Amino acid sequence: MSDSNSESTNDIVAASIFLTLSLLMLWGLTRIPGYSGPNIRAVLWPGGILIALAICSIGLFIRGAKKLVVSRKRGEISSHEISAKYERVSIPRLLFFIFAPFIYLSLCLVIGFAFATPIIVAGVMRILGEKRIGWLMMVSFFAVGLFVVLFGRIVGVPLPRGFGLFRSISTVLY
Amino acid sequence: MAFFENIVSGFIFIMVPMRLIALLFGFLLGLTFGIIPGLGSVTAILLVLPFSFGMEPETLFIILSASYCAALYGGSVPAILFNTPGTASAIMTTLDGYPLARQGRGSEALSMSAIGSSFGSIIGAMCLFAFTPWLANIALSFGPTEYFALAVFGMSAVTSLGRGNQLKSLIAALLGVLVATVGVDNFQGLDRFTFGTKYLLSGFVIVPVLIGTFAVSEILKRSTSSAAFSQTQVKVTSFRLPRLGTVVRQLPNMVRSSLIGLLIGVLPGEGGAIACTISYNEARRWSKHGERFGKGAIEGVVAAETANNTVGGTALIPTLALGVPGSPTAAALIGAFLIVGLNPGPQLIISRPTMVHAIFATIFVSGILILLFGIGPIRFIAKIIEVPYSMIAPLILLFALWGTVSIRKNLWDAVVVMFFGVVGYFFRKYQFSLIAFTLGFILCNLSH
Repeated sequence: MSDSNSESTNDIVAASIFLTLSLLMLWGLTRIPGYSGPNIRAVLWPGGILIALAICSIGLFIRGAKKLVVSRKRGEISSHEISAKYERVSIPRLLFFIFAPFIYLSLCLVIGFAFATPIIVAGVMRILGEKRIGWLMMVSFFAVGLFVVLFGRIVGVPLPRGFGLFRSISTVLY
Repeated sequence: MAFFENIVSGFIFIMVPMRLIALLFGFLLGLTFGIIPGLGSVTAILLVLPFSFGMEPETLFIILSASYCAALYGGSVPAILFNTPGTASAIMTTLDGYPLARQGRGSEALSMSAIGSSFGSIIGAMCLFAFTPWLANIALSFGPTEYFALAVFGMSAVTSLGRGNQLKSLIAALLGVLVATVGVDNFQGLDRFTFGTKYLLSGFVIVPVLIGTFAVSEILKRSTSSAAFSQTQVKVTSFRLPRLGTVVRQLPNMVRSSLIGLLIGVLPGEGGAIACTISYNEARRWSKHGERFGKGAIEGVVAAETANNTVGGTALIPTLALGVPGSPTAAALIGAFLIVGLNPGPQLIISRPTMVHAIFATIFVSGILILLFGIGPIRFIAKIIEVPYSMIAPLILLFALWGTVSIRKNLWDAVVVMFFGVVGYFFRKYQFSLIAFTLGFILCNLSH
């Protein structure tokens, strides 16, 4: 898909999402207990913002649709060239980076910070192209040590210890 | 008279060994973060915050201000040596900096970049001393109407400056305002969009939102790109100071670029990149050899860097005097103020004049440090770029997560960081303005 086509499509998608979000949240506002009568001021402000957001989303949708129609009428040829190499996104990496931190935080609660952190560090390094096992291990354990000292001891963050055996081992460390 | 008193009080305050060490630490930290592409001053400031507990606020802001100033300059180093800007505002520096480096004039480019940045920082600091108290005095007489107008002005300024896409910037600003409405209404105590969770009763806290929106989204953007970064580094094998004649010839360019930086910097928004673009274009227009621009014109490098660092200082004028952030980094500084229980604005200058003057003096001294580091040691510090990104990314991500958790000792803050990191990533991808979003979030309370 050519660049202007994809930009128009992106605009249409984004506008649809924001319009849906604003309408859903406007509906949610009406469900706030006691929102009417003397308490209406509590919802007036976010309500006004949501209405403005809905209007802008409609504007963006219309603009995106117009651009798409115009560019298709001109018969723009699909291009295999991407305008900037930087914009080419690796979907597996994207999915990894979106979900991995949430999984990591959940793992921290189960197996503790000291065991979950090397996994995420090694995973991130591996997916970014680092293949040397030595570096994977070294940086992972360096990260655990650094964060236990910095956050666990100096700043005093209660780093998760997990359950069972993991908890027992973590308690020794921090 | 008050102007000189402010200068003296600021300098006397920071000229204490511990504070000077803090300043140097902040400077080196900011320089490192500025040199590594994708990090920058916002990340530097936000990642220092968790370690601020137990520190006196004045020392904290000395560190943060020095980081801020150094990171602005640091972005020019990879721009010149790698053709990769370390910060967004160093983009214009790549146009002539990298060609100069390839011509064997890398040391000249680095030195002149440092001289321009130093000049810009010092001018920015002097503007801070001169205009911030004056603007704060005016703001003292502001009432609710004026504050609402100010909030609307701030958001309209950032949307009108939003990189050629005002509608998207407006949407981003509205989303920022919307995110800020989550929580209990201040006036009537009703829950808004809390979904029955205790965490959202107090709304979203600014620091996790900023860390996610800026720092984590940048990591996501850089890490998910499948393009191989062209990192053909030009090595600077010998170092020569620029000739005095070269520096003197650039003075009119530096003065003009500083003026542009001053005018753009006081407006809320992403002033650095805009000021650099305008000053670069003006330098080309005024140059006798405009055809050299883009192929290795030293005036291009000087213009961009001078404007960039002037904006750094002048963006703090509306930030400190009015509480309206002049740049993304200024927004992060506002987050820092709120964390330590201070509200930036005219009352801050009345209640904590010494701290405010110390910030100005720090920026001035950082300008001098830029000169000292930039005309020599920088080529050694620049070696940090050679550390693979695969090693830096997980550490920065962990710092972002656990640094945020350390502020309120609440694990949900890390979830919020990742959530806004993903939101920020999609904002970047679909070209919605992050600064507009941030301004909307910060100014919501002001306008409400």
